Amino acid sequence: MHSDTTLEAINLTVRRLIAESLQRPIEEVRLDASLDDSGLALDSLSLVTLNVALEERYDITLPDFISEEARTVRSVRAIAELIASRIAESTKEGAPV
Amino acid sequence: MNAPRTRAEREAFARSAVQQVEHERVQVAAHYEHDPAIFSMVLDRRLAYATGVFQDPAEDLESAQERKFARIKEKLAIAPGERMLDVGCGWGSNLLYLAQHTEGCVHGITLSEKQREVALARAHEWGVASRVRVDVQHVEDLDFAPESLDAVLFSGSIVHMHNREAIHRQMVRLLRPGGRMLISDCYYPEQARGNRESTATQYIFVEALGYCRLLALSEELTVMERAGLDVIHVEDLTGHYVLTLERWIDNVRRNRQQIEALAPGFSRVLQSYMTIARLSFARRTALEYMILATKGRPKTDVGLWRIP
Repeated sequence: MHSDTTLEAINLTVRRLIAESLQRPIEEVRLDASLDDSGLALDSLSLVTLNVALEERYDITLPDFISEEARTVRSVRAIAELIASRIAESTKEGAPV
Repeated sequence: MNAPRTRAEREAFARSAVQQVEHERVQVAAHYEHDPAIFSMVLDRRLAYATGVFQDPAEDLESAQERKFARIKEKLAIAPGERMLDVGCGWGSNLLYLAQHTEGCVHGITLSEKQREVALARAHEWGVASRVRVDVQHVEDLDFAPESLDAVLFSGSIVHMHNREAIHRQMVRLLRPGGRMLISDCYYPEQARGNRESTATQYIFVEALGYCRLLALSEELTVMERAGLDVIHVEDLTGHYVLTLERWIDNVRRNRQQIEALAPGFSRVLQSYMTIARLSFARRTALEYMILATKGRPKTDVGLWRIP
């Protein structure tokens, strides 16, 4: 596995991208913070931008964080775990038989 | 008309009419001036940058766009020798389809020189150049003789035009009696649904697409009727735009690296604005309609159109 696709590395990348979007220090974007108004209060544009940036970064397809289909993805940690599982799926699919 | 609903609209009202035309000329063109090779990777082969019409949700984009071209052709009913104007003709998707499938003379205008080049190159390649003309021009600068057109098309373009009253009055002037006008575009529900002051709205209307003004359908129809047009048919294509955008977004994903190589950052712009648009149509906070109107007595009786 590539070193930047460990869960720790993904956690850090997700936190960094959110921090950039909010223009806040990364320390303020905790792993357990929720995305909605009770936590980081990411607006719809920030969520879409994050979606696209993460898809590009990891070459995966993600559900839209602002849509109903992604209602379980409500925290920074949930995003990172989803990415890790999508990477694992795509690695499995791409592996030689 | 109602009070402005978005920041983009308020800013437009603060400009003079001349300044607004200039604003549209520059800001709207910018999106469409990107390398046509990028749009070839995202859209259907004719490069329609508007909704298709899907027979079923699993249908492919090409078939859905073909059905839409055919539907527009039927609705505009261009007879041999008739003159048709496509306002905001893009890369010529409808314009060239109509040149190939009717015996009319088609004239497109666009704000993008690159779009004009692609449309004209294709007109030559497809053997219809003698009946196709394309100019880089703003609609409000057209200097055609009164009653010189038989049909006018606005497909995914009137949303970029602020001064709707003037445009509809102008089209009534340019159309001959019995002339047809077709609009396929995006509208707000009359009811205040969704956040029209959101950063996402500002992103799509201004940053991504330069200038957009969404009216309520009833407002557009009122402006058209006041100008003297008779509205004869309206259909909702909102669900079809959701499907169209899904396919465009998948194409952006598939071609991300090639798009980035041609225009760094642009795949992100496309995917972000298309995602916001897809969700807006899915939630019906934005609606897509196809409107057919005539100047005076219609040539066709829509009461006899068969459903389906």
